[in-house]
Amino acid sequence: MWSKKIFFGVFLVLALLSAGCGSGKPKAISLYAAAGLRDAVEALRAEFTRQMGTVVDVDYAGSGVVLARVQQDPTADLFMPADVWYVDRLQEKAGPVEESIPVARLVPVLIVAKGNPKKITGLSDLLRPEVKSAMGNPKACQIGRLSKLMLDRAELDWDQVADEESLTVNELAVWVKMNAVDAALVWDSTAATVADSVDTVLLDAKPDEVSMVNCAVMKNAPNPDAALAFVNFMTGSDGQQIFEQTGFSKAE
Amino acid sequence: MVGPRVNPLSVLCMGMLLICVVIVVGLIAADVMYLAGQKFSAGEIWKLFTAESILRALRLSLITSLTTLVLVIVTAVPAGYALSRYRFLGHSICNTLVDVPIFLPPVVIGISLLAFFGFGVGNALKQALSGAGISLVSWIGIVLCQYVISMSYGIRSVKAAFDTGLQNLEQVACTLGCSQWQAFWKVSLPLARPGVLAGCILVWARGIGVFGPLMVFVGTGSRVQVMPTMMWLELSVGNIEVSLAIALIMLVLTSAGLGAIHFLERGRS
Repeated sequence: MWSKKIFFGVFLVLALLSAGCGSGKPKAISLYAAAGLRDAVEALRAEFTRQMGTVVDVDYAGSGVVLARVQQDPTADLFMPADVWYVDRLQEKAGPVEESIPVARLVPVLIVAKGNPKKITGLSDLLRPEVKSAMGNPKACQIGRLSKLMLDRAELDWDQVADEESLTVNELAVWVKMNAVDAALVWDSTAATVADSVDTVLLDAKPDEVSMVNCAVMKNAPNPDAALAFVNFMTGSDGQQIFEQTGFSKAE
Repeated sequence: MVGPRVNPLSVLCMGMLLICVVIVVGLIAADVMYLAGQKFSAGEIWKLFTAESILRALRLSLITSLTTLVLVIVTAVPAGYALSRYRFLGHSICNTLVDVPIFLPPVVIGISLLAFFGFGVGNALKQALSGAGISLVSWIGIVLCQYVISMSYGIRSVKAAFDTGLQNLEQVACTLGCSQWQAFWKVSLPLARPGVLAGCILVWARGIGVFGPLMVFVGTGSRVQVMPTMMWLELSVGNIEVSLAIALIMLVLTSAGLGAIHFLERGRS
């Protein structure tokens, strides 16, 4: 009796173990993406897996944070920060990436409380003492880096304008939505996600204030073919349509 | 001890203790050795540890944690005394509720504070403070986050300290002519002092280490960076040396605090 039970137990364990491995499934692609791109990337990778069967694993964080993380991970296939500036930084530190392809654009806008009670019309209104504004942390995310650039250009002092700083553009939208601050500088796509709870104030963004989202294939990517397939999917008509549906501006 | 000194039970217990100690020592050694391995000169190490941004975070950490400590002493000592000595309707509910912040994930406290100040009464309060020029995204918000978490530890420690004191002595003091207030001040409090002091150090150490709610409630701006949040930010963007330097500073501070607790508790048992 005992020996039968042991035999069955061992058989069960072996069966379970073998079910998981060596079944010839394609390995998952590893993508490091900016947190602000989350809505689009979630839709894109779901559709990609549906069409091609390959799974895309994503790690989201502010662009500056993702830049640090992707350099530490030898199994990374794709790097998609919120601006090509970070791809250039990666090239400086770690050598050229295999490919860098534009997939979308991000336009900065101001979001304010619904109804705009404090009558905010532009960046200079953020200097008013009764207006509490939140900005991205310039070290950690592209929106922060861009905000610093735009404020410097408008000759507005960062310390006087930014009352609170966040590591991701997504959190900035949450803060405006929860009345923690009166205004925040975010992407047009981020504003779209909270459109019901906030008002958007458009800014006249100059051409170099529009962020070019590039997806870079890492030099030593473990799955270069699958990675490139995902990038081509994103730049193809299906991918660009998904970008549009999730509120992003297309690559060109 | 009963029986021979080296027996299977003692080997197992000492072995497990050794494992735990090795884990702690290993982590501390890893921090030190990584920095040492970077081959910084003594001058560079000094510059790293005395950078303006780190000193500012250290200053803010000390100011906020000590402010929190004072607030906790003022509120938790009487509250702990009440929980220990008085029997009233709702005693067990209060006893449970004051423990909640200890068991909640700290980030939940952050979002609860966001929600509180976002609407209704909380929002009105926030606007009123704002009108008076006081912002919550400042040392005030930091103290608030630290207080909510540390208060629970404080009440717990104080209640335990008063529980071990003999209630009879208070009653004896009263029969000898002391008022309630005098009995508390001259009899109970001195008896509970070692436990209360140890509780204070615990509260301070917990307060200085608060991290989760700060990210959500006050953000990562340079004005509100205390040591844990600065360490996280620097680590996130790849500045490992800076974050390790902060980690070592915090290790030294908390070790000093722990040493003090053990020294005080020696007198108790």
